[in-house]
Amino acid sequence: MDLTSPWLILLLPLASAALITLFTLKSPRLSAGISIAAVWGAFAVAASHLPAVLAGHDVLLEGHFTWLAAGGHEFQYGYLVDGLSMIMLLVVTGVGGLIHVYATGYLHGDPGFSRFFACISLFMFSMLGIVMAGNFFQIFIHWELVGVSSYLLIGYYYRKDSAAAASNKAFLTNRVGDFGFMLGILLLYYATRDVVGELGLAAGAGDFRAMAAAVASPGWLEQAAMSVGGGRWVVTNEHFLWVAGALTFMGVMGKSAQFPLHVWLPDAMEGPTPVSALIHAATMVAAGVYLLGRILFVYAPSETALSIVAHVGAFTAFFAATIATTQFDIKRILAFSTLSQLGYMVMAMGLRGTDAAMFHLTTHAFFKALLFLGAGAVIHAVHTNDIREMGGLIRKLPATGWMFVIATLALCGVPPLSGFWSKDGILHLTAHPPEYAHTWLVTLLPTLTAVLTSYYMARLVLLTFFGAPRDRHRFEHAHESPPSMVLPMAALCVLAVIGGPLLLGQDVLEHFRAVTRPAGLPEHEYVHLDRHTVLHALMIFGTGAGLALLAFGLRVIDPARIKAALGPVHRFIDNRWYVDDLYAWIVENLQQNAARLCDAFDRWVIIGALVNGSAWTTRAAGAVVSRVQTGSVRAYVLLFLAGVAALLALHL
Amino acid sequence: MITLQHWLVLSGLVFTLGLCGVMMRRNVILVMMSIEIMLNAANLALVAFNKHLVAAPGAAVPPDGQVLVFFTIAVAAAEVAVALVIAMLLFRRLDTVNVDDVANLRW
Repeated sequence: MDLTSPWLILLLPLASAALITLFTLKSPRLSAGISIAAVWGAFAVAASHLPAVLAGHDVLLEGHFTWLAAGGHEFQYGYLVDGLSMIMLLVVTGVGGLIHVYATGYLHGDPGFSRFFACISLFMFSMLGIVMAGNFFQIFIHWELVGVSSYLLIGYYYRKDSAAAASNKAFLTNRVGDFGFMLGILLLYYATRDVVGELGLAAGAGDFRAMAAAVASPGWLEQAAMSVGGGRWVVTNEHFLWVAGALTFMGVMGKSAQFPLHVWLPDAMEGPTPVSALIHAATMVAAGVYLLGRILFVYAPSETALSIVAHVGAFTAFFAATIATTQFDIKRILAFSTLSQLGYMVMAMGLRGTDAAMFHLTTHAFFKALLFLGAGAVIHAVHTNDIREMGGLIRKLPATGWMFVIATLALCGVPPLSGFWSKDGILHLTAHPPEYAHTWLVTLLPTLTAVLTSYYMARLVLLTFFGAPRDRHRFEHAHESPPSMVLPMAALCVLAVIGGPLLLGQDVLEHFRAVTRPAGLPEHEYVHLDRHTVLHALMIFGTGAGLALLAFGLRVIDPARIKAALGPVHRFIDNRWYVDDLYAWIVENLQQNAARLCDAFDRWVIIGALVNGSAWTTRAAGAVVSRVQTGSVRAYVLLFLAGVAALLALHL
Repeated sequence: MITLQHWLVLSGLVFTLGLCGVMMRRNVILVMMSIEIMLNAANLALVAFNKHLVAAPGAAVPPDGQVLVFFTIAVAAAEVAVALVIAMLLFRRLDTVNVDDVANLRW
């Protein structure tokens, strides 16, 4: 096998997970070595194909084998590497590799050290499988696999009740989304199967390119797919596509934590910080956005579907940003910020800005991973997540602190850091939205969200790193992290600074497009460093950060008085808009009662009447009928005679 | 003229006689003998049917009934062999050949 085969990208992390689980659980250093070697190996293989992408090839590499053939259905497993997969491959393995290194320092001496690396290797395998999948069925398998690895890693500290509960919550919430995703896949497969055959595309089941071609084939959309009520209602393929789009979007909402399936992500912060950085900020949660980019051909023909996507994204962005302003847990603030940024990306996809969404995904992976790693370093130093017990830490953790500040500025979109380019690309989209999405949700909320982002991030930075220490004891014991943690952060910091121009120069972004990209998407102009956009970005940042500075830095405004003045509004936001409470109510009242009903039915009807009832009847009948067995031969003869007589009487 | 009815009535009488013996006798050996009588009543009926029904007038007689009787006799012989052994073992174990005393196989 040659050393640049994309199979290696999948196999290296899988082999690493297997090796660690089977052989090296007792030797942490070896486990970490294997895992890090695997992820950087995968990165090297992916990077070796980068020149071809930049040279402008559409499909770089593909290869697959038939995994399952049943009836006329052929399910294939393999890889399809195009521009879109390439950028994700580089982000996942690159950021992943840095976080692997960081984790060796963060988890040093932890009893589950090897287990962590086994799980995270499994995660890398699963995630890379999503990125390289060429068909819906493979992507679904890996979609579930990342769900499992995320579950394992959120519950890493499994002795902690809150961690165990959080991992269950994440898994179950994702199941809701994934169920819709699966139905959507089946519907799409059903709807396009015939036309794929007619077009003469010899493709396995659910192949992306074949489906995209089918959807784009002339006249297909208007074709009647089925008719209900004797031809009175005709369902066309367009309706099918609409429904399938909404269903697959449920998968996106689950994995990318969009409202209303966002509830698991803040709780997922119970996992170790490297996991939060890699899985719950940089890569896995971006899988939904990636999927949208991959299957935008499903949405593109229907403006309604695109409009749903755009509005869900815009609302999530705003909704999460408001909650982030009230939180005190450093990781939770970042988690809500991630929700909010994912909302931006999903919205951009809904506005048909695939380039802008993928651009923001990439830069976000850099600076959000850095923010989480910085938060991890802070937690490592002061042993608390609560920013009310921090303060002034920049004096104790200068390197971490300043890198955190840079990442914050990148997130807030301060020029010329990477976040400025990507975020203003999206804001530019919302300033001139397509007709179908021209509502105040799309035009107004994203800008407001950007202000809120600057506010809550400035608040976080000011409370954590500046001002007077609020907890003397914790402050005295704080110390800078080991090089294994600081160096990966430094690498990410460089990327967070230069990521924007790096990807913008010479239309690099346009090489990172999907082969399944539908025709007719608008070409986007990106932000140029002209005076207007820079002023706009600085104004947004200035408003948000200025407010935070007044409240938490200069203490001109007393936050407590604002809180009191906003009473009910603050309570509403602080309780996360009561979404979690609503779900708890639904589960406790509706679902529990339905479960009780089912339980009673099972207990009394199925077990009581049918299972035990039949046993009881048999036993009772036996008790009566066994009296016939008297042991007396002559009685038997008499009975026999009576029987024969009865039969004769019946027949004659 | 002796007709089929005559034979069947005779067969029925013999069969009933055997049945009464099976039901009323207590001695195992006599019960077995009564069973033999019932079997022979059936044989009689078979032979009679063969003579009066199967054979068309003037044609060569196909021996279906007789063949069946031979089978019955063979089965009866085998049955007697087994039954006698059972009776003998019964006597050795329980010191009795009275069927009413052998009522252990009950609920």
